[in-house]
Amino acid sequence: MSEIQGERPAERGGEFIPSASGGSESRREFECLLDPLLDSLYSAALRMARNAADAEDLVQDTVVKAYRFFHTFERGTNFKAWLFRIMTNLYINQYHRQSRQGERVELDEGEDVWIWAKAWAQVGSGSGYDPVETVLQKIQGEMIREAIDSLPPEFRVVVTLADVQEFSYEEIAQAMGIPVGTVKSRLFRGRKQVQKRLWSSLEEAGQS
Amino acid sequence: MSDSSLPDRFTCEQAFARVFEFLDRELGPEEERLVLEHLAICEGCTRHFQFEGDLLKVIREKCAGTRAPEHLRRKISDLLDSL
Repeated sequence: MSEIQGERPAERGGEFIPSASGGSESRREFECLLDPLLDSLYSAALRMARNAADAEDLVQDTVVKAYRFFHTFERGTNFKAWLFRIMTNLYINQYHRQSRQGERVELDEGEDVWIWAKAWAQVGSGSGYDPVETVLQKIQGEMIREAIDSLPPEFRVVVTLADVQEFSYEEIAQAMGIPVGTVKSRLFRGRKQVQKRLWSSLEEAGQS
Repeated sequence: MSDSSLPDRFTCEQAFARVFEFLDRELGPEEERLVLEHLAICEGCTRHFQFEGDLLKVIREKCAGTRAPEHLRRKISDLLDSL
């Protein structure tokens, strides 16, 4: 899957030693590494922060922090994992600060909803008509974004990194500082909830 | 490498519990073999797995392609100048 599995970002858990990074050469190197990742950094930020203004702030904070501590980045290791780890840390810390003041979202662990089973239950298994192709065509980008946005943050980040950024489980584990086993279980439960939300959007769309 | 905690063959439930790891190509060789063996004899699971894979593809396609706005790129460049 990934050419960089098994490596570890040089920076861990925000334990930085502040110092000025200098020199136009390191600035050029930093920009060369950053530039191809900026679109994916922004789209991940958008799923984490859920609105454009906060996503832009998150990307800027990430870039500033990464640049300040660029000298701690181990050359030749995975810059993408290192950069996303900085952003994930910033986002999660920010979220925890805010959630002490406000509401906390929990995962909806009620009834399981698998679209495949629901779609077949609707047409009846003996009908000879395959409903799933039609279902896939009805799914809109907006429904998917809403479904991912509804997840609690620790699930939203895992689903975003896996399904929007196509990170390997090992990269997600690195970016979030959690074991691979936790990545697997959050991904399973997170994707299941995404399906549940998608199914209710599909039903609403079908009724209107 | 054999894992003694694994059964000789998977039931539908055991196979489906690993559907995402299988689709993401994150299963170990032993478990992947057991899932493949189950799929070879279970048409229902084969179609269900196929659907889950197609759905993940749709999600990826619809979420891909977001671009960082031009003003953000400029802001970042200015920020780096100021540091």
